[in-house]
Amino acid sequence: MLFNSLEFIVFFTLIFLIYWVLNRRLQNIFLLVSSYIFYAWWDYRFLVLIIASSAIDYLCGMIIDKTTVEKRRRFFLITSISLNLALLGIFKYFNFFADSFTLAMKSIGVEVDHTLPGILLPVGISFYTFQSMSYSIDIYQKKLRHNKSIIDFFLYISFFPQLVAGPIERPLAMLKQINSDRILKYEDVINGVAIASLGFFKKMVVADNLGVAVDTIFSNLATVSILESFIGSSLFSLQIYFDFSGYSEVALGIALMLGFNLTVNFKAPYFSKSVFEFWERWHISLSSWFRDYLYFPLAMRYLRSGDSFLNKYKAHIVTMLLMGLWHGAGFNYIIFGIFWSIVIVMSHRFEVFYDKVPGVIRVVFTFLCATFGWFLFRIERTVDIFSISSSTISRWEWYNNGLPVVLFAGVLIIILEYYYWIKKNKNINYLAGLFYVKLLFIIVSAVGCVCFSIPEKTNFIYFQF
Amino acid sequence: MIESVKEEFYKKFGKDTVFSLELTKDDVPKWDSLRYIAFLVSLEKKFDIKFTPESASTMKTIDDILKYIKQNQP
Repeated sequence: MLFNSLEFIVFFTLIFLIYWVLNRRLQNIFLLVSSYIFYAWWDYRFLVLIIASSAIDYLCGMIIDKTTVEKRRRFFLITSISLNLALLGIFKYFNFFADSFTLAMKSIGVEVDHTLPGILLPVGISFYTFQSMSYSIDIYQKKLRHNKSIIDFFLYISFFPQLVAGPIERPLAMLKQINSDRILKYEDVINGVAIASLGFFKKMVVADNLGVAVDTIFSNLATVSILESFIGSSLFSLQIYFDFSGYSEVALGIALMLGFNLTVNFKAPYFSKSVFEFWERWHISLSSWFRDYLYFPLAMRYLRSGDSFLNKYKAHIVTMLLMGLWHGAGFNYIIFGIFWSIVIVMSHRFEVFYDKVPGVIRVVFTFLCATFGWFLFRIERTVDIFSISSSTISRWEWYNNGLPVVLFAGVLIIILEYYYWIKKNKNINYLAGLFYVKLLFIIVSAVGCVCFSIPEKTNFIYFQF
Repeated sequence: MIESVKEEFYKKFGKDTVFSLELTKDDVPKWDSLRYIAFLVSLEKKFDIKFTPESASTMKTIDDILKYIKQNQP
């Protein structure tokens, strides 16, 4: 069930009305059932996976918490991580490795009969397996005690606003909210509606309309000019931002209407002055997950054994490569990881010079790096890079008159976000306190979504990851 | 102890920021993940302690780091 669909609006309205007349225990059961219905809407078979992932970490977490024997604790931590990664491996990466193997064999003249069944990628699997794993890890690290209520724990893994594309919530903060009474606050509901409206506007008006032009350019990379390819890539940078941050804001908004505070996932990333800053502002819940659970332990281990060039950057390289792979199975994701590793290492090495460059140029440079990274995401096959035309004759066939209006709206939002997250450095939700501004904002968003959305129903880009 | 921490702080993050116990990542322009971990590892050697990866993610201020050192010193 997509957020940007009529069935979701009906589904959520019903949930909202029923949810607030129940007590906390019933609310949690109701939310769990609703979340499973929401997920089963794609394919009911996916439910087996999410229940399996939740059960693995519920049991491993329980055993790790109960035992004091370090060997046993470690064994069950490794079990949790291995089983979750196995789920990901089978359902996300199996086809890629099977195809690559067949191709490799073919190149040395061996024909492999590829009769293995094509495995369907379950939506959101990378998000909820990571969320689930963090539970066992946190218990192992003694940040958290085991949560006895199986309903509450399963709800933590499957909470529908953030189930399929995050934010990836940490167990400590989320379980605390699940275990506490939620109070229906008028302020939260109106703020929630305002944030969700912004999200819908970003997705349905800005991202989807930009997507029409981007799709045309990317499906004609061999014939459009080099300038058009560049414009297409830059527009895709904007599209992926509005699409994903739009999704995150709808998630934040509807969760707030149910009394939950989720992690803010984006803080004006395209105004970052360095690639380090970019990853601290883009998909924050994922980059902080990798930082805390992978980068910190690795960097500590490597730096303890000396501060050679390799020891300094090995952890960065491993993290960025795995972050690339987290997004999907494909050579373009591996190149994505390699590209970011190189950019990060180079930025660090040449920091003395980089710091002297004016801020505006640093922002542009960071945006261009991000654009190249997203370009690698957008091309369907790596070999497509070589098919890009070097023609200088632009025909602007992808251009339509609505595009400047959409871009204008997008730029306005980005400026507002820059002011909010960077100039003011605020950490609370948008538009807090300004009732009439919020109301106007909700109306403008609703009118925008009705009048300027494209007729086709589109998926969110991050659903594929 | 504070003097040693201060010395390492300036070595790793430069002298653009005036050292204080309340400093967080947001106050120090040069504070990135790499420098932060390098800072912790240099303190490990100085005070003969070991930071755990989870402590690295939960400590927010210089004061948190000092408290950790005090609690874990042999």
